[in-house]
Amino acid sequence: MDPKAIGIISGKGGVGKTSLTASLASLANKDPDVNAIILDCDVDAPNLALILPAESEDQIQSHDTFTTLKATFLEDKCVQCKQCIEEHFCEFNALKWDEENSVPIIDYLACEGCGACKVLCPEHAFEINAVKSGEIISYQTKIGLPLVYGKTRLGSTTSGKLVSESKEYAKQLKEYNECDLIIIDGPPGIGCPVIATVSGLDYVITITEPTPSGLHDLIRAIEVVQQFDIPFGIVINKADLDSPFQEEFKKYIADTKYRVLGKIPFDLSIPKAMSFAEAVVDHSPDSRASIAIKKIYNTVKNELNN
Amino acid sequence: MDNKAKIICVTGGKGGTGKTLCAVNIAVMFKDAGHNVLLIDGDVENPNTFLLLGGELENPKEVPFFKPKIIKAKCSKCGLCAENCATHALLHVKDQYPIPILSVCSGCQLCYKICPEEAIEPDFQPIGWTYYTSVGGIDLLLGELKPSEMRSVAVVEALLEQMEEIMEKEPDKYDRIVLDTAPGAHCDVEALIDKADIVIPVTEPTKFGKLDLLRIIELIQLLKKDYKAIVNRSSLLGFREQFLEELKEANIEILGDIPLDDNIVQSYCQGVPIMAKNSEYKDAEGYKAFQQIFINLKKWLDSLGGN
Amino acid sequence: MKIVIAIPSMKEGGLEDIVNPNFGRCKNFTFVELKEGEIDSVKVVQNEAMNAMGGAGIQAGGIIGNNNATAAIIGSIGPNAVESLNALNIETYQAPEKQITIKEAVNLFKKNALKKISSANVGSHYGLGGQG
Repeated sequence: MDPKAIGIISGKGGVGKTSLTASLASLANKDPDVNAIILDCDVDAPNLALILPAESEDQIQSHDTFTTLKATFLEDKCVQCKQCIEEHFCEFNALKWDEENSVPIIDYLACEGCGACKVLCPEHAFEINAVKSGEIISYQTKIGLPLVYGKTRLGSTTSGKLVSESKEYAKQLKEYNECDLIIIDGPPGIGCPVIATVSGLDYVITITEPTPSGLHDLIRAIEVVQQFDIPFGIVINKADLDSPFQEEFKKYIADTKYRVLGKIPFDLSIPKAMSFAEAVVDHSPDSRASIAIKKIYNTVKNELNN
Repeated sequence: MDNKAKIICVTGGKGGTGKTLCAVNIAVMFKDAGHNVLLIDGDVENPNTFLLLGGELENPKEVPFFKPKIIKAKCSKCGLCAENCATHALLHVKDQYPIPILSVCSGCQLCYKICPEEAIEPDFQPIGWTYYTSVGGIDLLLGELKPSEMRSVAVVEALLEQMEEIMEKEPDKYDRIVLDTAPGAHCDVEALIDKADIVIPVTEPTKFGKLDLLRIIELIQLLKKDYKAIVNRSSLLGFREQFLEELKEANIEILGDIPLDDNIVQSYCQGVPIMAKNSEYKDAEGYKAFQQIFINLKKWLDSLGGN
Repeated sequence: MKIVIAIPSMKEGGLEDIVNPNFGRCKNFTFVELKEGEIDSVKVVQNEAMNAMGGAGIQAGGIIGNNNATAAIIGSIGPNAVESLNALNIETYQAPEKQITIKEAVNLFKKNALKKISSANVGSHYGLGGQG
């Protein structure tokens, strides 16, 4: 039986995806009913490894990925006709003209490897090669669960692909056969890497905070989840934040009738735990935040079983 | 003397450090100091600047994105388009017309350019919108990606094109342009940093803040830009001194730091930037911190030959 | 009416092979032609898209389209592949979760015991997640 996969997204960055994922992971680890694998799909800035480091350096596996395509210019084939510029071969502004040397220059970061220059140049002065797009790292965490995360190489333009590859990579782990739950820390935003994270999941947790941008971004994140027709629930972080926006926020959420999985109070135990590279449920198990998160864990478990 | 507008890019890598907070307030401070300011919101997946300015967006302009349309009357079913499509966005089965699979189309337009029968036409569909408006007294150029679309960078590029058009047609309209980016270090962020004269990464005094700061600095250096960081929420859990020391050891210069200040949250939720002219928070720690940052920012710009 | 069913195969294909739950990345496709409801011929075609870097689902759609499939029996299928099969008017049916042989899958098809798929049941690039 395939395991159930849940992802945590938010739209807005910095709302608490990673710290919630770490705590849910720890709770899943302690739960005798559950065998979990953890993924960090925030491939442009993976941070979960800071709270769930490896048990030991020597068992960290690292695997390079080569799914980014980039163009290279073959100067010896170029006849300096400038057709590539004049006829606008590149739609990504990655081809510029070097006046001094009368040759095109490829902007590596902007190049998408689409191959248009290779096909259109009459002298075949461009070629396309696969380059290192990032890496997928996996290890046994110090709390005992396996963790997989992807990290893009700067300029790779293929974050979505790396997310998908990281998800696929987890299936190769020896723990996958016994695994019944996969918990995924998602990226911020609503674009390509978020879409790649969310697609195919069984459940999505959308985490927010009671501020104007927290709400605004939550709505956009939910729109993406609804497009995929995946069941979701909302977690409100810093729920008791003293802000003039609270009334409007509460009313909005209540009017939508979306499922609220739980509310985590504003609690400095969370950043404190993170600074010790621990999940808050481990570092301060009796804190208000931990109590709230434990309730959320049980609620999510019920949602998944139904 | 260089009269071109100075472009300041506020970025950060880690989400939620306060990029938008800093970008908006820097824009406000420049305006109050007598500059002509344009604020550009390049966080097109979740543009929030207008919320901090307490306004609404008007006059959306569609950002068109290329999709191929097959003109069956001209198509010879040769399959050349599908053969050369790097993302397999054209499905060709023998003796059938090629079928566009639009969700994976990158917009490279190669199919349109190589079709020997000219049987492919560009069918531009909106991938998002840009808004050029005035909110809370600040001129704002904002981009928004349509939810479920994937190519954020296309909307960012539309914003930058509009910016360049304004700078060309009305070069004296603005002398300070502030760019707000998305979190992360992806190509949409890179496109904005690339246009900047100076870059301000905003971080927080935690391990996460530092990790993402180092990553964004890597990108900034790759693009050969000058940068100085802002440490937001610096008083968090007493981490300030140690964190500032770590940055010093890593040769990361800072523009200043902003302590945790409830007044910042209050003003933000009210939709009034804390540094607004009629701010009721002039005695707040956060207010004073921003003032100092602005002094340092002006010094920095002056040292680069700014006007 | 001629029916040609494409079935992703685990190993060398053919009626005795197991149905491969992964559409784009299977090793071979088995094409079973039915004439008047009975198996008339069986053909195995290699899946050249198996190791593709991306767009495997779309390419696999192309392969089964080029082999005149009118129907397909699939375990998990991503959104791009679904779009491709729908565009080619190939009817897609959901394979049962337990492991079955290709012959058993064809029998279920003949008995109308299979549900049709109209949308993806996993993410693109074979994301995690069980059936529906």
